[in-house]
Amino acid sequence: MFGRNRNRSKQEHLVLLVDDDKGQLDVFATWMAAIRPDVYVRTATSVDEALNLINAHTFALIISDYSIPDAGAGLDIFEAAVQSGIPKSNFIMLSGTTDNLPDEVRLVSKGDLVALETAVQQALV
Amino acid sequence: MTDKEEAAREDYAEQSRQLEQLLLQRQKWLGDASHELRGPLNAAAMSLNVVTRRDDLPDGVHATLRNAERHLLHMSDLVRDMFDTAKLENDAFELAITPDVPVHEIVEEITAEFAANPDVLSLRSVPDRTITATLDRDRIRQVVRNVVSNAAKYRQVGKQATIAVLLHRIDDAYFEIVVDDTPNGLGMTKSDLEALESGQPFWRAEAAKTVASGTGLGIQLSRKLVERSGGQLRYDSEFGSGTTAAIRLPYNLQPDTET
Repeated sequence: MFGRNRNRSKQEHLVLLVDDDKGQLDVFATWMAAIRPDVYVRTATSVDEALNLINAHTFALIISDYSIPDAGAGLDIFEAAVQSGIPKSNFIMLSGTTDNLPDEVRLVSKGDLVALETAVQQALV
Repeated sequence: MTDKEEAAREDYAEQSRQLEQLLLQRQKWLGDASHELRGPLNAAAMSLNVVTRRDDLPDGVHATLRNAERHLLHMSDLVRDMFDTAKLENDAFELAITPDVPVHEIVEEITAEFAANPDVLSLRSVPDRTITATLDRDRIRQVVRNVVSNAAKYRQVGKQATIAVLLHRIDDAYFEIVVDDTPNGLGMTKSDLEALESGQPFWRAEAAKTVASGTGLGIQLSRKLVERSGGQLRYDSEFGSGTTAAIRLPYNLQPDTET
């Protein structure tokens, strides 16, 4: 079975997943570990928690929901991530609807697992 | 202006303000409802996706779980398309227009996304890299993704899709993104094309229903998005051969040209 917090030494990439729904976030973390066993997943359920983690760690990839819980709150995380030095292409915004976002933000429609997996694989080369 | 006229003017302004607020509230509700409905559906689909990656599943279980995953994602897409369609019909929908968008980037992004799709045998992209346009990048990307996704899905039984995506100039005012899935595409009959042109939501060609799941909303939503962007989405098709979809758009979409 797939684990999300296995031996860190065997895992090359630190990935942050952000969603305000804890149950959905756990599923997301399990999925991430299934498609990329070489990642170590951290999770955050609020903007503040995400910002604290971004300040404390260097993430290879950040995937955030756009609405956590308010629409657009994900943009605060995007800005903090870019300031922390993460390439814009290594930040993926998930949206349950097709919200208008700045061009520089990489948007994947929530539920489009093929597009999400492609984006993850491209970011973690 | 008399006192009566002044009072009427103020009353009109107040009603306009209240109406604008109601429209904003409705837009927010549509967005929130879509988000809340899709979340659990996606989590369930993601869970099934994890399980189907295991190679120790009993015979038949893998296919059954994949089928369940597909149905969940289908329902999720349906929710998204329904809410987007409602927004468009209620005019609670704004385009985020960006100047000087290199259109080839949209084409290349979508072709890269579908190149790894196991249902696609070949995906050729021929973009004119000099074309830039003032448009809503996200929405046009959504349209191109929908059209390419249909080309990948609706193919002849037992065949993989062969897709060509072209980007070229039409004249000084318009350019075109063409998605061609011949010769392996499913294609549509003349009556299918007429039904498609009628713009009925949820309509799907009978042959299409037998090869892939879908909502019938994405294609109509794409058409509305293109029209809202000052353009036209046209289809040319032959059943058993494939379909050519042409997305014609203006170089310069002005806010006051939105309809």
